[in-house]
Amino acid sequence: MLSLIKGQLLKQAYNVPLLFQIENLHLTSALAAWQSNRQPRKWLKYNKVIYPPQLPDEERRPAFVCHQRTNIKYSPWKMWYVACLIRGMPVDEAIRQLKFVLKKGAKDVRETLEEAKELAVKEHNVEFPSNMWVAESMVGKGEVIKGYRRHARRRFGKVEYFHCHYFVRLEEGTPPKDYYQNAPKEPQEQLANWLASMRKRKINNSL
Amino acid sequence: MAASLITRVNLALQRLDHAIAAFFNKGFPPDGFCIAATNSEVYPQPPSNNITINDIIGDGFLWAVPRNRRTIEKRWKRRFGHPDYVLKILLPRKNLRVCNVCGDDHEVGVLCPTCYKKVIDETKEMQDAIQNELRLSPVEKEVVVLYDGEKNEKPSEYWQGKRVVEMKKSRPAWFSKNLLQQTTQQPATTTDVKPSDLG
Repeated sequence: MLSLIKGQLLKQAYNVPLLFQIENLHLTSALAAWQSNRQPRKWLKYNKVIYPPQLPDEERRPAFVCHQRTNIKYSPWKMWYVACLIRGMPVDEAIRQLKFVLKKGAKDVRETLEEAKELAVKEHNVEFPSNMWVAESMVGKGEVIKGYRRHARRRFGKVEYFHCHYFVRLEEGTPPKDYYQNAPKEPQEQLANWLASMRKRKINNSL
Repeated sequence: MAASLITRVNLALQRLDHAIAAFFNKGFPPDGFCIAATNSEVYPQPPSNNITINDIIGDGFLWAVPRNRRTIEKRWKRRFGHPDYVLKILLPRKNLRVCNVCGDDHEVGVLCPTCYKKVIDETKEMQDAIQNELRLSPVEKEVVVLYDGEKNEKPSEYWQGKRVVEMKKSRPAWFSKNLLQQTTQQPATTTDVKPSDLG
């Protein structure tokens, strides 16, 4: 860059085009070699998927928005607890609960949810932003900055500064009754299942 | 002549023997010479410095290493805790209510933080006004804080034995005058109860 400018100045001074060797052709700063600018991009690609048109009798596919926030300065293992809290909640309820969570990551999660609500209305054809629920809420490990610290008696310890990515998918509609589907079945349902399994029995190699 | 023939035959046999031995020994010296030892002091070798990990760490080697695989129960206990001891999973809180005045959420039994913050800020302004007015003089008379235009409502004799602190702003809507009524009052002469100084 500097050599190019020098060349131009010389050209103007002597009015003759000069050919010279460029010593440094660095287009990025030297610090970039130490930085990793890789961001997770796959999650946001789900937003760009175009589904085929649905048949009139098919169940309507609910609108959804995928949003993320990268390189939050918080441990991913601690952030996981916050992400797990809001799974399967309506968005407004999730934001309300996060106000009273005494963790550093709760603030970032709350801001991400609010951004996702706005995006849903602007870009994903969602009518009422409050009519959404948290379908997926996940954490990934981000950039890790490493260092060392001293201890007594000539010992050393490794110091790691963790960052995390937070991914969330909001879906339109009311949330299901149990997100993890761990609830025990109703007695009627249990009876129906038992009856069906009894009727499915067959004596092998019989007529 | 016979003796030289015998010696010549002996020599020939010896040579044959040596040749066979040499053929089988493949370049090594004959058996008689194999006892000879080399002098290792002629060739100086570097001092052997085989440093093992044991020398560096000593008996500390292989101390802080897991001996057994952590069971899934132990892993769950560490990540999730236990309801009877310490539960690490966050649970949604059921003691949150909506404030009727501003619409923000607050815990049960706690004043709405947004509303209370307004009160805190206003109190601070009043305190600063009182501080500026009174400065270092001792507080012997009753201190009355008034907003814009309230001093003119009462005649000047009313303010005789009182220190008046004027705030240079209008009274906030949520701050009614009867909030600053004194609790120590003279016993009532009548049984009629009239609300007074409602803001």
